[in-house]
Amino acid sequence: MKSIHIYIGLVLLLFGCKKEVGPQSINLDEKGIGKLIVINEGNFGFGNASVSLYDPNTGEIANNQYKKVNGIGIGDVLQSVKRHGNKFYFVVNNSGKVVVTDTNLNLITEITGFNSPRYMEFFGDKAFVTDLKQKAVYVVDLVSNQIINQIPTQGWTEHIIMHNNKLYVMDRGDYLTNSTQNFLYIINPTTLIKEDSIQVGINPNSMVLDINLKLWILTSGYSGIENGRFQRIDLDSNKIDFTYIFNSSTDKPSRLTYDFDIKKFYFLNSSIYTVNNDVSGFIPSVFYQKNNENFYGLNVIEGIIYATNAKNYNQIGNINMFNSLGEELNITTSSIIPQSVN
Amino acid sequence: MLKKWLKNSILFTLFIGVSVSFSQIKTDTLRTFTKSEFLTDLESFSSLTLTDSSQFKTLAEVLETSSPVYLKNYGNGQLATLSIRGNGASQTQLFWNGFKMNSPTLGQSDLSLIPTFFISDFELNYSGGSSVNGSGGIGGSLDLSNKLNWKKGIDGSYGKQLGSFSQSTSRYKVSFGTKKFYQQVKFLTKKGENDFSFPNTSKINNPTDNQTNNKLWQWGGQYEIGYIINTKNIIQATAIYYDSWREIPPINGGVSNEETQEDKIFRGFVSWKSYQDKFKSDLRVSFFSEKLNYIDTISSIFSEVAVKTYQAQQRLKFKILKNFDVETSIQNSLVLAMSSGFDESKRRNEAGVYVKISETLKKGYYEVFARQELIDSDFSPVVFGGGFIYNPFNNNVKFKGNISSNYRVPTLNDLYWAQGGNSSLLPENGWSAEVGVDFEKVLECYSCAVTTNDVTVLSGKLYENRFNFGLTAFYNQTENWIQWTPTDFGYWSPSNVKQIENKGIEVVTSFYHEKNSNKIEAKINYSFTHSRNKDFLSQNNEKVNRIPIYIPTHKANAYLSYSINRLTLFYSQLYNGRVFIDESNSTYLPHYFPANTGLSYSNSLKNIKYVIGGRINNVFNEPYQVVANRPIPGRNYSINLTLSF
Repeated sequence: MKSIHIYIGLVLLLFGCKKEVGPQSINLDEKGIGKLIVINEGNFGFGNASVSLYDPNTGEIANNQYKKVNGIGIGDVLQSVKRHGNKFYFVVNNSGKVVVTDTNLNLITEITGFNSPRYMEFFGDKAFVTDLKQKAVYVVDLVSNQIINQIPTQGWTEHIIMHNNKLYVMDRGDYLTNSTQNFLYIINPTTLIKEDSIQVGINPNSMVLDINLKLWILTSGYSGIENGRFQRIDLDSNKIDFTYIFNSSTDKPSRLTYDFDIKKFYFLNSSIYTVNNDVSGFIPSVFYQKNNENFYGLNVIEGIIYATNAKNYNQIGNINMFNSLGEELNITTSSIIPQSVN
Repeated sequence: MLKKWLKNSILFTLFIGVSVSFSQIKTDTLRTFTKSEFLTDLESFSSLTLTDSSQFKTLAEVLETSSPVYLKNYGNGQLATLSIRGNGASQTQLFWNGFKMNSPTLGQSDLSLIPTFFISDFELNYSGGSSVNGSGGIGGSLDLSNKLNWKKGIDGSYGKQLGSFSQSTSRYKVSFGTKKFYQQVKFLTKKGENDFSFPNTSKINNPTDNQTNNKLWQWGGQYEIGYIINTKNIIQATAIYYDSWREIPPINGGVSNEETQEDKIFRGFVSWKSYQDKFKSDLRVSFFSEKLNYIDTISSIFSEVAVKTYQAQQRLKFKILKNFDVETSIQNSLVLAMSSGFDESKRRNEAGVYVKISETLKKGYYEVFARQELIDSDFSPVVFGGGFIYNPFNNNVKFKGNISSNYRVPTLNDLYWAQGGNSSLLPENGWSAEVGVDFEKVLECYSCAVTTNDVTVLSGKLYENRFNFGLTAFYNQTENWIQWTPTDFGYWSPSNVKQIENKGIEVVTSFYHEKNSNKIEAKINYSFTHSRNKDFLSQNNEKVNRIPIYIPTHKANAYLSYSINRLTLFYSQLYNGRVFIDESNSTYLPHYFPANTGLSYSNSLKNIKYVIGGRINNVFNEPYQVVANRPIPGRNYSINLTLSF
């Protein structure tokens, strides 16, 4: 009889101590400070996406900061983040939601009802959210934080840029196949009408505005059909006025980013590449030859190049930092599948 | 007449005996050494758990609560896979009546598609290399078999279980036996809404949400026939058809893609056993047809897999010299697979030869064996090994040991998936070993002399006390472990990248007490697994010496039942330690400690026997997840009734 009491005591003890349910992190770092936000995608279906804060002055990183502040995980597959006013908008792809926080990462609200959201832009009190599967751009009212409309598209909408009161949206066609029909839409954010569309190369994956306010699109192409390419779009005529085609079908360029100060592009093509923003003699060259890294994301902030290393996608990734000369400044670990530094 | 009847009875016993030793392909002594002690008395074990329909247990539940293996379960009726001694689901080979049943495309078996109702026996084998059935079980194998009970006359039973979340299972069984014929037909339906509530850990304050898109509808039938040709020859055939339709729920905090999975499975085999003076022979042929349809309506994914497998095997067992037994097996398997992931239909032929020599000694037993396979036109590495049992004092203490090499060929998806399939993959290979000791103490009294008032009479069974204890230490290592990793070209591809090392101990204990009409049964099992990634050829060193994902270091279970007269009460408790969910061991799922309990009452009304029971699952309403973001139901209930005549 006594042993039963001990057993019941033991059971109660085990339950008394236990508060954790679902995925947990081993090291919940103390609340950190840092002006750069590192978003870590996490594994599809594992719900282990996380937010890290990096301080470029001290080189210190604080991981799992969203969970630290709010007590819950941010969701499944954290795709992108964008600051608007004094709020952060985190687009959580496989949770179909946008998480809105203040600048200290305190959860304010969640905007739900998306299918497979990717990137976000803002115009007045509206936000525009692209989507992998929905064949539309969502229109969100930032007062009620509700989806209020959808702008139909051909297929997978990816990067989105707001410039000069116009939305520039990349359409990658059917997301399951390598669609040969890929477009850049120019949308009026007030009337929600597509004013123009420009056909671009196969598998466009990133775009940036350069210092001359021309829009550069990087495509990765499709083996056997078309090689990857740079395409420059003149936004006055909405025409492609420059194209650079990569030599080999094994070139899969992606993650175009741009340093305004020194007018240089950086992008990933297995290793890190760079090219000057100058159409005469436009020849990309290796910026950093990779060893065994699996570079996944690339950003330039204040002259420092941040390349994320997702490794084999099932372990803690790294962030490698370089100056514009290609010298490695620092390497820090972050969390599972570091997506981007913002 | 009586003489003839006696002869037939003996014959039956012999045949069943033969079928036992052939389907497990281990002599009775050997059977006790490769499997854990909880299965030592296979017949009584299976009669408790498998043929006792009153509990309506699933195969996953039986294994989880009674053995040291780890079950990875995605939720009620969802995918459930088995992991043995630190290895994964793909390294666990399942056999059905001696034939490989892991999917040739995926490489795994889903235990949720194997109702216990359609199996009569199972055996866990921790030494994959030694399996006469075939290779692939690097961690071990689970052998499922259908044995006929040859009962004469007409028997029938009907069982029904109703449970929480609109779960309902119905079972029908009719058997008909004569002197030479035995036939049995079974039919089963199973359905459930499975819309259980769970604390949604993806939201602040974990509000209670209901699981969605989690319906299940399964039905299946089985026909078995046995025919005794003469005193030396027997034929058995079994055919199963199982049709399963499941919705796949979204992950906790995810968006439902309204996914469904449909499986249509046919398995059939015919066996001809011949029991000659000098040898025993067993010739078996089988045909499997498996179709899988996966539909994700939101993402417009329609994936289809259809596999046909033709297998044949001939086993022989004979004596050379006085104490030497020789067992041989030759087998061939032809797989034809179509998949929406392949460019064209694929074909694979596996031929194998197996030889085992064993000797039974006064104080023990030993064996050595070798296996060679030919996969299409490539010879696989020769697998070899050996084992022993040693009883130095008496039969109460047994020392045992076992060592073997083993390997696993890549799956068809690994080789041919478009895009990413790698046709130059090598088989996984490695070796495993175990040593252990088993102890058994039995105190019983059958036909004891009892003296009362100076009159001595022979009683019936007065009491029985049985205590078993087993301790096993194991080691296994696998090289060329196949893992899918990202490539520079935007898709994933498998390669032979890892080396995994597992070592650990398993403790199994059981206690049984019977006196008058009281019966107490208790079992406690514990396993400690030290599993590590030892080497990794690409990417980085972060994960070296880390624990592979979804491998618990500690696992324990306990089972207690008490019967008095016609009433039985049981309680089972599981402890599953923390598992990591990333290879750098930075994220994990916490341990869980769920318990089940139940009560049953059996009696008969005229000629109809009945068992009525009820059970409570997850008694303490513990919220937990076995797989990340796949919640398991809290406390839930079921009642059941089984009628047999």
